[in-house]
Amino acid sequence: MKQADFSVLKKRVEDVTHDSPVGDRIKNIVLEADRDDEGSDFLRVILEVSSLDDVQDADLDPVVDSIETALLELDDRFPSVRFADAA
Amino acid sequence: MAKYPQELLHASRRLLARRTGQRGKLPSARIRRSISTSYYALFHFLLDEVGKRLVGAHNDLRRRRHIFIRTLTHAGLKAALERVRGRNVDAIVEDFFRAPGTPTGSVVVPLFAQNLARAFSDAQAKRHDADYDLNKQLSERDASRLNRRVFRVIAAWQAANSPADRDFKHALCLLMVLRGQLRQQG
Repeated sequence: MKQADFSVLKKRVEDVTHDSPVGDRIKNIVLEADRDDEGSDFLRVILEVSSLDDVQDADLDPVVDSIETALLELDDRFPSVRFADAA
Repeated sequence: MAKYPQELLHASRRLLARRTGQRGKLPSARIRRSISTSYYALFHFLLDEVGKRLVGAHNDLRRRRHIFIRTLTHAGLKAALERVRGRNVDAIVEDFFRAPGTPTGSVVVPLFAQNLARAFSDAQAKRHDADYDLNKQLSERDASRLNRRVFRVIAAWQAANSPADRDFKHALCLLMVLRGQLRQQG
């Protein structure tokens, strides 16, 4: 199974989100590896954002698509993207 | 869409609904239940598709379909769908997906299948956290996006009806029954 270093993956997420509509709201990117109850490895890609109150779900779809496509080129673990409030 | 997955999607959405004027964060239980229910909507949609395509869609075959789809597993569906989540079908199974009369080489995954495969992986990962790991935070946004995503990929799957699309769906349904593995893989 192809796996990349977290530093490489995080840099890739930073690159693809930088110019996105929510790029300036992303305060931190957290990556975690885990295995689900079916035995499949996956990645949590947690985007900690300042606020998305005025952003529609549909506006986030291209951002998430870009992250998934970019990370799957580097790593076989599926990147499950989540949005969390920045502390 | 079959009635049961449709009801699950509606239930998932209703869990996120707010009363007029209601503000503040939704209870975590509603967010987690919504995510889990969206996953099961996609899971049951796929069971229904496999049953109808491989057993038959006639009403008289309902009981046989329901028996047949009990052989399917969450891990099996995931393993099969992982073969088609990239631009091209995984080389290990590409011959299986090659339509009759088409040349050798890579087999391109139709976008409707690629998007459904990715949505399934995402939904299964989020459902894992929603159901089993209370230490992992999931937001209302995660739940609403997943609900929309599942609805969207199901609609796209249903709209894809060219002969090539139907052939691809048939091969993918067979691979789901085979849990993503072909004998020739050893």
